[in-house]
Amino acid sequence: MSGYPVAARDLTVRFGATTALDGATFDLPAGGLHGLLGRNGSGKTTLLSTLAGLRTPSSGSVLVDGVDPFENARVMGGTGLVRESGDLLSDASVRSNLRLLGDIRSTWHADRADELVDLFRLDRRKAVSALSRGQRSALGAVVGLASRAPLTILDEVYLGMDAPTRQLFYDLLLADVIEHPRTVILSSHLIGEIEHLLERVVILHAGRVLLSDEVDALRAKGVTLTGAASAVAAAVDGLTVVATRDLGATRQVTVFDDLDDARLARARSAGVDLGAVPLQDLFIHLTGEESR
Amino acid sequence: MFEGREPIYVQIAEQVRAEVLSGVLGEEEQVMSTTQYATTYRINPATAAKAFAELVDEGVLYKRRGVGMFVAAGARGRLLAEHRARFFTEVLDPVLAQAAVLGITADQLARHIRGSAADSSAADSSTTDSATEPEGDAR
Amino acid sequence: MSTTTARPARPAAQSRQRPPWVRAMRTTLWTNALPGLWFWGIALVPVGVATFAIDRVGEVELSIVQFVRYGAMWFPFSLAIVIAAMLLPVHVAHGITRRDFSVGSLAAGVLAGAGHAFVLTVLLELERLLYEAKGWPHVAGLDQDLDLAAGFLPTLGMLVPTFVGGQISGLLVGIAYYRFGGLRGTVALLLTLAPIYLVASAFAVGLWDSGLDLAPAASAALVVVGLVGGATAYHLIARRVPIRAVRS
Repeated sequence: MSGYPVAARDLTVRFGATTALDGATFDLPAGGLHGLLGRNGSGKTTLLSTLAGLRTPSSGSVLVDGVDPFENARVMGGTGLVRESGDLLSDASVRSNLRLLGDIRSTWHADRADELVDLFRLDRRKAVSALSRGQRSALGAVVGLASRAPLTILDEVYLGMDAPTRQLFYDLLLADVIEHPRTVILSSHLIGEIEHLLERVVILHAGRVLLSDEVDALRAKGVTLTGAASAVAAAVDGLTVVATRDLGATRQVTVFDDLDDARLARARSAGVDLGAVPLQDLFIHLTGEESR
Repeated sequence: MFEGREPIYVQIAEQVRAEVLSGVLGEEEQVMSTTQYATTYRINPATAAKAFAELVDEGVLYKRRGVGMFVAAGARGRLLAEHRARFFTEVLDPVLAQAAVLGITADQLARHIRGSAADSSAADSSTTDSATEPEGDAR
Repeated sequence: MSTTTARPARPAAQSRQRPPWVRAMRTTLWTNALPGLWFWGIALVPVGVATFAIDRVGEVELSIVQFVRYGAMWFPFSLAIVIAAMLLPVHVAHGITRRDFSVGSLAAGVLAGAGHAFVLTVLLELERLLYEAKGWPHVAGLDQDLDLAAGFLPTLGMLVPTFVGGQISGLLVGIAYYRFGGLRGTVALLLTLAPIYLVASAFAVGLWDSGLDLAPAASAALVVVGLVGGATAYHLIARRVPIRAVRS
């Protein structure tokens, strides 16, 4: 079991007059830890719900392990989507919810769930609705990890966790994926902390796929150039500029483009400082107001 | 960690090379597994694997089936030779070009280099030794 | 640092080999059976107390157990609503297809309905034996329609389809509320309660007197239409239902 590959082809989902997804197309290979990045309302949850067979596309298609997941017993059984809501019985205790999942899921690992509940210090007797947001997120992580599904999707799961819990979660996730290779998709609008964990990232904006690429490739395309305004302007001539900031005579420009070394070397010798662009910044620039 | 613009796997490989060069990782010494590396530095396992595969291709590391990865015999020497060659083209040539622009003569440069070399050898006589002779560490 | 150690894969437990519809049947049956057992435990206390008290202060003139039959159908009916409205999304969200959930929950509904009918029939029978020993008349009373003299199998044959109809109606009510929302779900009650109406109408006695005195073939036809029609409607509504993210 090394995970399902995932693909979307011109995927469109409408709810009445609103278009949640508008012709989204991307591919994620089998295995590996990938990111789905998008602002609130960009269509992330709709996309992931469609992948998990929880709804049908209005047009276009999704393919999980090469087939339409909707009502496909094998693929749905092998897909574990944890939405922020958890999709649990909110009035039932943590313990009875986990027991229920053990009865429902063929891939469930009860021992692992038990260990994780202890690691996250969750009170098994508490009702899900009585948990704090952070605890509910941790329970979501438990469900996602213990499901050990060939396609594990964690939608906004770590947002509610405090910083130490998030670190614990990243460590557990990484170790789990290494030990039990499968396809994992993490979705969020905050990825500063997990940028290096991801292999590929799909950026969704207003229902469309803005980018789908290896994180390394995206990083290589992004660069900040800081220096005298004229030198910087000359250096970025003809490139796609996603952000510009002036501080007196100094200008900082963020570029997202295919960059050749010769041009960068010329910029450097003209006294322009080159810097990396964190993926999170790139995301903010690309999905900011100006790009709409 | 991994702040640069280069792909992470390039940075990882560079870090391991630097450790071999500086002697932190001795020849025939076992290096961290891809898994350990990924979990320790919280990076994608595939990225770590790519870096290590590159190092194996280069002959810096080699794989022992079922045991792990080790620094290859002679890896340090080869890296030293490569880096020395690159030192002239990548580090010194731009300096010389800049010096030419600034009107600094070769004589002035040579004098400066000799002066600072004398300083550093006075401060630590073993540095130049171990840099030229890999076995120097063993003594 | 890594927080894990290599762990040998645990052999798959028995439940993993079960087909998904069987898993859905087990979880939904459990949801139905546990409160069901409580129901009988709780219901038998007042029945016993009432029989004893009436015997003390006056004369026992009619069956007490018969009064449980409304609760024995409507309580599991309400559980079936919960199963369709709350357990369906949880199951589908965790990888059970709607089709498998529908089949599993219908199977559980049939088992639960038949089980409750069986328990009630046995209790009526036991009560009859007690009444005979005590010399009390084991009758339903003047305004009651239950024919207690009918015997074990005819009573069971009447109660099973009635209670199963209750289960199917419950599932149908639940899925209609889940899929179509509160207002339309309420309007749809006219249709979603149809299985109960149809099955109950098939019998001149039972939960209520339909006033129809039908030929056996006509009764059987009403039962089949009620049960099969209800189950089919439930299956069709469940089959393509989108699973929304629930706010917990």
